[in-house]
Amino acid sequence: MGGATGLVLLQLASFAVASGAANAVACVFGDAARTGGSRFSAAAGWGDSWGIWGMFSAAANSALTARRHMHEFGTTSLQLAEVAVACRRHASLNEAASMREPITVEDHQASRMVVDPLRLLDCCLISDGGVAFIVTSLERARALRRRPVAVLGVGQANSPETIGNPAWWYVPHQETAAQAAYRMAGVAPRDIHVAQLYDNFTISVIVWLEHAGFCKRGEGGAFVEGGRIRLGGALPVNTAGGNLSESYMQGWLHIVEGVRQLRGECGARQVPGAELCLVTGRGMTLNCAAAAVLARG
Amino acid sequence: MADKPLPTITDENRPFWEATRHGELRLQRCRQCDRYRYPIAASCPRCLSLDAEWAAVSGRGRVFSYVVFHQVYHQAFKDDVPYNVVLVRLDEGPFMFSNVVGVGNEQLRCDMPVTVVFERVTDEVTLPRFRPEDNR
Repeated sequence: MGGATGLVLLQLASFAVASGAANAVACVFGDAARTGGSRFSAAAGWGDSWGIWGMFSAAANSALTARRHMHEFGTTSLQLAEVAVACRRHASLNEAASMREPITVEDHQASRMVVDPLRLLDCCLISDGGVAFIVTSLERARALRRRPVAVLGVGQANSPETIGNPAWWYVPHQETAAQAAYRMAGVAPRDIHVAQLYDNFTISVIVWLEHAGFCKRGEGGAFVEGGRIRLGGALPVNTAGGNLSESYMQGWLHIVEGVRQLRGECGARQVPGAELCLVTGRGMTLNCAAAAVLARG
Repeated sequence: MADKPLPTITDENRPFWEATRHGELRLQRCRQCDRYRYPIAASCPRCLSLDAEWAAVSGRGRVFSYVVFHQVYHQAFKDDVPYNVVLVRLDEGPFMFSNVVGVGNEQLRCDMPVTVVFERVTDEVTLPRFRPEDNR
């Protein structure tokens, strides 16, 4: 399920523990995409490859979304830059991040075009690494040395269609996944203190802000302006640097950063008083989405 | 250098590619709910009926979204960059990936009207592409 996999496993593990099927579940991810030379260049398709028309890569799928979002809502490349700059600023405060050199909006605008309208600095990294988290009962977790984090709500939503669905470009199932997580948690977007939003490309953060209810449809571009998603802003997003600047662990590190923020372990990048974190993931040519609401235990 | 990808002609998609070879765009239309569909599929994605016919469409539509490739992801396209890929919404409803020809990439716009043209690639395959259509 691509970039939704970590959250989907969190959901399955939570259900397994809640049902008594398991006492503790280790969810583990590893990738050597960088060493292996992965370029995420495959063409999607239905029957035949879209490569017939030269349509290749994960970047191009998100570039189509970005272009239509720009057309319908007036979203700009400068707003995409705000996302890249915020993630890099956060990564600069994270000793474990791959890319820590701060960037400016001008750096973003000067970076080379990959698939127009997406530039190099709109794209996430390609990384090697591993991530694991352990899910157990809150009672068991409270008996451990570290502060526990509670899974208050989880949701997933998937669409089997691509271009057969007129709304595909806008990935509406993301909203379904986020709403399911909020509903299970009994919280609303305004209750969230910090968010880790899946950022394979900058535009994805803007669309997630809309689908997760932090702003209305079409307002994601304006939302990221003025430092709103930076540390110190109204809704700090991807406080470890995200896929864009920390490491591309396909969303698994978004879960880890959610846990660290809620434990209060983040040092210079800590969001003061963070008690509720939304984590989102998305994968498979835009088709799979998942979300979780985590709480300080 | 690798060749550009071509469609694999099957019993299911042969009517589509035979039509383009003859300069015509034909899509499946569900006999139960009358909807045109694309991508080519055995059943209607709306009503699940297996009963469909191949019917000619206007070949007219609008560019729903477009991108311009600067990165070479496939070596066969090395000399083509920067090239466009568009998502066209046909007047009959379905979306298709394609390319817009006969116009510079900088002149592409979302919602611009386009009409199909046919470009022969091999004896077996003629690709539907689109050109801008004025006066709409």
